[in-house]
Formats: sequence, structure tokens, C-alpha cells
Amino acid sequence: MWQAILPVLLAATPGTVPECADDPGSLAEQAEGLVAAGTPVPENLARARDFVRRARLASPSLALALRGADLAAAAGDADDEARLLEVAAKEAPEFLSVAERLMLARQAEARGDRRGAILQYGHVLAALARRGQSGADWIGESIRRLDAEEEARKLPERPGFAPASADARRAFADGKAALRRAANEPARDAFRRALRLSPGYSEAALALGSVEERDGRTAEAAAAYRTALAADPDGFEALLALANLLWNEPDRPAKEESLALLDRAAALRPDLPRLLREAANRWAAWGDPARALERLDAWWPAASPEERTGAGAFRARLRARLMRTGVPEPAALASDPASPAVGAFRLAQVYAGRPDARSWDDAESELAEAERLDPLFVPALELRAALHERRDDLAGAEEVLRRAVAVDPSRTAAWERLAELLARQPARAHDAKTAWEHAEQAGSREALFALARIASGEGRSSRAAALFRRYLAEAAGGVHAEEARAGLEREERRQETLRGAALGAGAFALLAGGLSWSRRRMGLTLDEWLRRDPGATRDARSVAGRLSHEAFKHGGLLLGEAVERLNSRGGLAEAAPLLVERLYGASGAPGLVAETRTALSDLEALARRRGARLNLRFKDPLLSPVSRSLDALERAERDLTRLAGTGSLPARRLEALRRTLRAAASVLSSRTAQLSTAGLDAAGSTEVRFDRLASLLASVAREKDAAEPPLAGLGLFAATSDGKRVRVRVPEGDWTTLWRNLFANALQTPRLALLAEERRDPVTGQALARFVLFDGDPRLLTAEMIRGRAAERGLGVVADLVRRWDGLVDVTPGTGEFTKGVAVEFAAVEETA
Amino acid sequence: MTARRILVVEDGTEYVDGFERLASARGLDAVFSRALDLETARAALVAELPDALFLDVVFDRTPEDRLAGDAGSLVARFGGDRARAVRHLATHQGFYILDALAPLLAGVPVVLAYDFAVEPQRLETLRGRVRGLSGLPDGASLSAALDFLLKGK
Repeated sequence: MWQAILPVLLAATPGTVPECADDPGSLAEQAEGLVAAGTPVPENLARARDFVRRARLASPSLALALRGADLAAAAGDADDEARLLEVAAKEAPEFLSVAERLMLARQAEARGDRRGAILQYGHVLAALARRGQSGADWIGESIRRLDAEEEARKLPERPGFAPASADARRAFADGKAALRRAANEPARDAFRRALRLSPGYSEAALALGSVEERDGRTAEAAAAYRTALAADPDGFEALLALANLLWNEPDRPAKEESLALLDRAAALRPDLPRLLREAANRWAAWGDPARALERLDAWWPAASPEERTGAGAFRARLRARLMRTGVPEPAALASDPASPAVGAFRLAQVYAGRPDARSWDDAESELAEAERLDPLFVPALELRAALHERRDDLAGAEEVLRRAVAVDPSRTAAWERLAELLARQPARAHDAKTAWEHAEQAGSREALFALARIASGEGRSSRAAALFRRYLAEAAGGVHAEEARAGLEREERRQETLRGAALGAGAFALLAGGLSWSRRRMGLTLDEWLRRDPGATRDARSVAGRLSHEAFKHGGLLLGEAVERLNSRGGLAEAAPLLVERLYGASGAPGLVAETRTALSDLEALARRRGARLNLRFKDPLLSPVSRSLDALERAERDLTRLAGTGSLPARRLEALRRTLRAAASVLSSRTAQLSTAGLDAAGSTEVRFDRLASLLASVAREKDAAEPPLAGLGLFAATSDGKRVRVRVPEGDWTTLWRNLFANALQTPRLALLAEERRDPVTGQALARFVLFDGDPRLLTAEMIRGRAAERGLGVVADLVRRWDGLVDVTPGTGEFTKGVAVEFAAVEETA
Repeated sequence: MTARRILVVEDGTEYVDGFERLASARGLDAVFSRALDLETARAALVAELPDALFLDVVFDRTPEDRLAGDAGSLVARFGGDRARAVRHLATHQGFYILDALAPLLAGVPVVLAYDFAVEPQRLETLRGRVRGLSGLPDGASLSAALDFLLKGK
């Protein structure tokens, strides 16, 4: 299409008289001279392309971009053609046909430019919609897939940091103590010290970020939150804190990053649907109604009828915006990134970050300028308030912050700062509370904690407990988490006392039951977690293996032996020294009780890192009895130690000790180990069937717009063995991903065959399942080539998954029409009667 | 009557200590010796001709160069990943020692500290090479294991 108007455009290229070699007009003219007569020889074509490239560098124009694309097409350089067409499309989108857009999308996808591909596919969809044509659902699917791939690519690697040292933990505790006294400066120093001692101490980094943010030191706060995320990429609190901080920044890249972070936080905590609602708001503000609607729709089923009614109009508006046009909307943000105040504000940020008063004066001047340029630019107002505070001008700070919240009442940071400012003035407690309530409505977690403390001080125990609970639910690892837990326990005790006095023993029992019920309901059991996140099975298996080894095997043997001796005369007294040594540790070595507790808390920490909160202590049907047994064994330490030392114990206490040991032995047993293994196996294994794999191949072929090669089954997958099932120790999601990649790499071959066989490890006797995908592709492929590929590319993903699930990958020779086979092998689950 | 000789192969002393205590408490006539790895186990098997063998599975305290098994071929099997090969050897070491000792174990009852409850076919496979092999259920007491080692039941 664009070729038709190219001569007209070229005629308008400036400076056609050849005055000097680098003059764009002259260069373009020389290029035309080289390709004027019929089909040019390759050397002339190459020189002509070079002239046009130089002309474009000297004076970029639509005409030269199109000419460059034309010459690149003539030279068969599809990449350069696509690149130049993209350049032209930005300037004159109407010149490109749907087919050319589609070609650009394909080429962008091929070179890994997912954003570029999404843009071009979007244009194709919009063009089809304008013509009232449908039937291109696959384009929508491609966009979704590319979007997901792009997001996945941005996920950080999980680094390995040593656990925080004892000194670092002490420094962290000092920092928290300083925070409780509202002594920000000593707190900052302590958190920094903790980080110097243990650079991967994410809790310290998170706390430091919080202090910096309160002081209005945005850049430092962002750096601290990034440090926390580097140590713990799935740290929910750091994700959310950085997302909120960056959203309040005036530049588009910060907001874009903030949106991605909020999406990750929402994905990590499906139990907090309000995050999806917030994400919908922000994507809408960003100008992307499609993404906003997607998040709103994900939130919808979890919302109450009232909330849905409230959001109905918003949903309708988003749908209308989506229908209106395929062209992206300009962002409609409260703090406009394109504000003329941004430049001055940035300078002010730099000055404000310096320690000397003169720089602060410069910051004030820049902020005055920013306000003059854009009186509604809220970040400048917030920074100005922080400067007033530094100079102890509390009235000035309050005035500026009140202006900020008047401009943007949904801005959490401004409400929080106003509330903190007022809270520092004893006579303004009521105003501070009102500001905290506004902050809470704007979504502040800090406000939850502050309001809980206020409610506690006012004696409103149930309100305080509810707020502490909300804080813990939304910020389990937050900077106030410990205080919130202590506060919640205190309020629960207070409620118990109050209600006990008022309602008597019956009501007390009801309350205790209610509390116990609520404790039992919060969080996830191990099974529930693994069902939601089967990919965690691998790491969980290693921790659960330790638990099984320490608690259920060694503990079971030890306690079983002790129980056997209970009935013999003096038996327990004789066994006591060994029990004390093994249960509680000796010579600095931790005992079985401590080892088991560590394994349980490692399991909880693992879940936390993956965004889930386990409740092993109260809710898990398998492990809560283990926790209770550990509690009982800990309580028995004194008596058991005395028995080991003196050889005797009063009869009643001896009997209690016997009961404890019997109960512990019945819990720390083979049954617990078997149930735990069965749970892991169920979550971390997949039933493999030929028909499912064949259907997956068909789906991959459809996605790739390729013909589906016929797939023959061999071995266990041969027709005669149809119905034979194999279960591999790989979670279903990873299993499917592995085969998607294997199939995607084998689509060009005329036919495929899939062999399945069971075998045994010759040494360990372990059941193994081996699968070989045979193809007729003549290109060379070796196991080393598969293992050496980058993990994000095709077969590299296979190698990565094979490693993750302790399997093997290899390439075997084929026979007949099959040139080779890619073999994968994994541990299999044995079928038992 | 001569004392029954039991060889315990483990990388610590937990099992041998437990057996000795139990045997002493019950007044049983048994002598326990301990081997740390394949080579000392092989030497003890030949020199002491034990009546029964108890074999731990995980040997994560044993130095890498003392682990039984062909590390080289495992490294190749795991695509050059040496750490993974060593980890595999340590966590399955009991099986590797059993495999290497199999020709010397004719008629000797062997208890492997591994629970085969969910893998009965695995146990049968291994019994193809070591007829007197039994597993140790996770919750079984040391007494039960000792009974088996002493009486072969």
C-alpha cells in the first residue's frame, strides 16, 4: 500500500542538489541513481541502502524510512524492512495496511519484541473492528500470551543470601525499638547497620524504606524497597510498598513499574481481592481500559453485592471506553506525568536529598516554581510539606498537606503524612484520627495500625482487634507486624476478660471457641497451599523430607523406644538422660524439638516467600498435632531433666510425663510421615496419558498456525496398551509447559511418534518414567545443545524444567523416517493397591 | 552360644548407639560394629562375617570422595551438574552401598532404613538382588528393627 505513494514523498525530500556528500538530499539522489535502472546488482543495492541510511541519520523523514524499507525488502532483509516500516508507522499509521501490520507483528514476535508485537496486533484488531469483522480471536489470544510472557520475563531471579546474622538481628531490633519511640533517625541508622551486616536482610530493608518514606525521602525509600525485593523477590510488603511509592511519583516509567508491581502483589495474595480493585483503578487512570476491565472482572466474583453496585458504573465506563476506539487513550492521571512542573520537581527532589540547609532553600525555590507552573501537581506539595517539617514549621507543613489532599483525596501518602504531623501535636489527636481515617479509606495499611492503636487507647477493644487483624492480614511481614501481633493478643485477652466478667463462664467459652475457630480459619493448610501452588512442591518436599527424617523417623524411633520402657520398672528414669539429650539438644547441638520447629517454620517461610500464609499451628490437620506435641514436649523439659538428673519424680508428675510421651509418640509416627508424603505426591505429580498429550499437540499447532503432524503412540502409549496410566513426579503446570515446548519445536516435521516406558533405576530401584518424542527433523540436535540454551527459549525451557524436577533430558537416534528423539525421564509414582 | 554379630553402616552413631542401649537393657547377647562407608563396610563384612546388616540411606555427613557410586557417570547423566550428582549420591548412598555389597550378602538379613510402604515394587526389585532385604517403616521402633536383625524376623 505505502509503495504507491513513495515517489511523491521522495520528491518532497529536501535538498536534492548534490552539494556535499553528507547532504540528505544528495545521498538520497545517489541512492536513486544506483537503483534506477531495473533490478540493481547486489553491490549497488547495498550501497543505495547505505546512502539512504546515512540520509536518514542526517535528516530523518517518513519518505526516507519508506525508501529504506523498500530497499531492505528488495535485498531480502526482512528485519530491517520491518524496523523501518515501524518507524514509518509511528509517523503515518494510516499508510500501513492490515496485512503489513500483521507482518510487523509476526516479525516483532520473532525477534522477541513482545511489546512491539502486541502494539501491531492491537492495530490489526482495531482495523478489523472498524470494518465490523470478527473471527480473529486468535489475535486476542496472542496478545494475552505475549503479555504474560513479557511479565514473566520481568520476574526477578531468586537470589541466595545468607540468613541475617545475630548482630544484624540485634541491630534490627534496636531499629524497631527506636521506631516505637518515634525516633526516626536512630531507627534509620540501626536498620542501615543491620543491612551492612547482612545485605540480604529483607525485613531491615523494608523497615528502612518505611522510615525513609515517612521522612519524604522518596528516592532512598525506593532504593530500600528495591533492596528488600532483591533479597526476597516475592516479598509482598515490599512489592506493595514500592508499588504505592512509585505510583505517587510523577514520571510515567515509575508509574508503569508501579502497575507491574501491584499486579504481582495481587497475584501473590489472591486472598486480598481489594488489590485487584485497586489495580483496576490504576490501570484505568493509566489509560488502559482493557487491563483495568480484566482486573475488575477478576475482582468481581469476590466482591460483596454492595461493592458490585458501587463499581457498576465504573465497569460500564470501562466497557464503553473499550468499545469506543482501538487507539490507546491518553493517560488521565491525577498527577500528570506530562505536567510542566516535573522538571522543577525533580531538581527539588535532588536538592531536598542533600543534607545542608542551603540545598533545602534551593529545593524550596524549585518547588515554588513547580507550583507556579502547575498548582495541582501534588508530589511537589508533599515534598514542600516535608521541607517545612524539617524546619519544624508544622503549621506550614499542615497547610501544604491540606492543599495536597484537597487536590487528590485518594492520595494515601499525603493523608498519612498529614496524620503523622498532627499526631505529633498532643492537642490535635482528634484531627490526627480523622486524617488516619481518610488515609485508611484511601487504602493505607499504616493507617490500619495507627487506628488500631488509637482504638486500643480509647478502650475500644473489639475495634482495635479487628484493625490489628486487618493489618496482619494485609501486611503480615510489615514493619509493625510484631507490634500488631502483640496488640492483637493483648486485645484478645482484654476481650476475654471483659466478656468473661460480663457474661460469665458460658460466654467466655463461646469467645474462646470463637477465637480458636478464627485461628483455625486463618491461613492455609499445607495441602491447600500445594494445591494452589503445585510448583512449590519441589522446595516443600526437601523441607518436609527433613521434617519426616528428624521428627517422624528419628523422633518416632526415640519416643517409640521410650514408650516401650514406660511399663518396665525404672525404665523411664533410665531412658531420661538420652531423651533429654536427643529431644532438647546437648553441647550446643539443637535437639529434635528445635529441629522440628525449625523445619515447620522453614515450611512457613517458604510459603511466605511464594506469597501464601500457612497456618500449620492451628489449622493444618496433619501438622497442628505435631505443633501441639512439640509444645507438650517443651513443657515437659523441666520434669524430664529432673528425672534424668535425680532418677525420680513425684508420682503425679511422672504420670503426666508418661502421658506426654505417649501422646507425642502417637503423633510423631509413620502415619504422619505417610500422609505428608501422600499430600506432596498428590500435589506434585501428574497423571500422564497419551490422549491428553495428543490433544496438547493439537492445541500447540493451532496456536502456531501450523499443521498438526500425526502422532503415533509407542510402548505404553501403543494402541494395545491404551488406558495405561503413568504418574510422574512433576506438577501438572510444569508438565504441560514442558510438552508445549517439545511439541512447538517439532511442528515442522511430517509425523511424530511418542514412546512411553517405565523402568527402574538399576541401583536404587526407584520407578522412573521415560518419554521419547521422535521426529523427522534433519537438523542437528544434541543433549548439550538443549542444556546449553537460554532457559526462556524453546528447548531451553525443557532443560530448565527437567533440572527443576530432578529428571534427565537426552537426544537419542531415531529409526526409519524418524531422525532423532528427544527423551525426558522423571521419577514416577508407584501404583499401590 | 556365640553372640550375634550385627554390622551397622551409617554416617553417624545414632543407630548403633540405640541398638547397643536396647540390647544392653534387654540383656541380649549381641555385638555391634559400625562402618562409616562402603569400603569399611566391605572390609567388615569379609573380616567379621556378621549375622545381619543394618544400612542407613542418607549419608550427608560423608565426604564426597568417600561416597560409593560412579560420580563420573552420574555427572554425565545429569548434564555436567556435579553438585546435583553428589547430592544424589549422598541422599541415595544406602542404595549404592547395598548394590556394591550385594554379592557378599547371600543369606544375610539386611534392614535398609527406608520406608517402602508406598513403593512395594521397589522393594521387590531390590530383593531380586538381595533376598534378605527389608525396609524400616518410618514409625517402626528400634526394637522392631533389632528383633529382625537378631532373629531374622
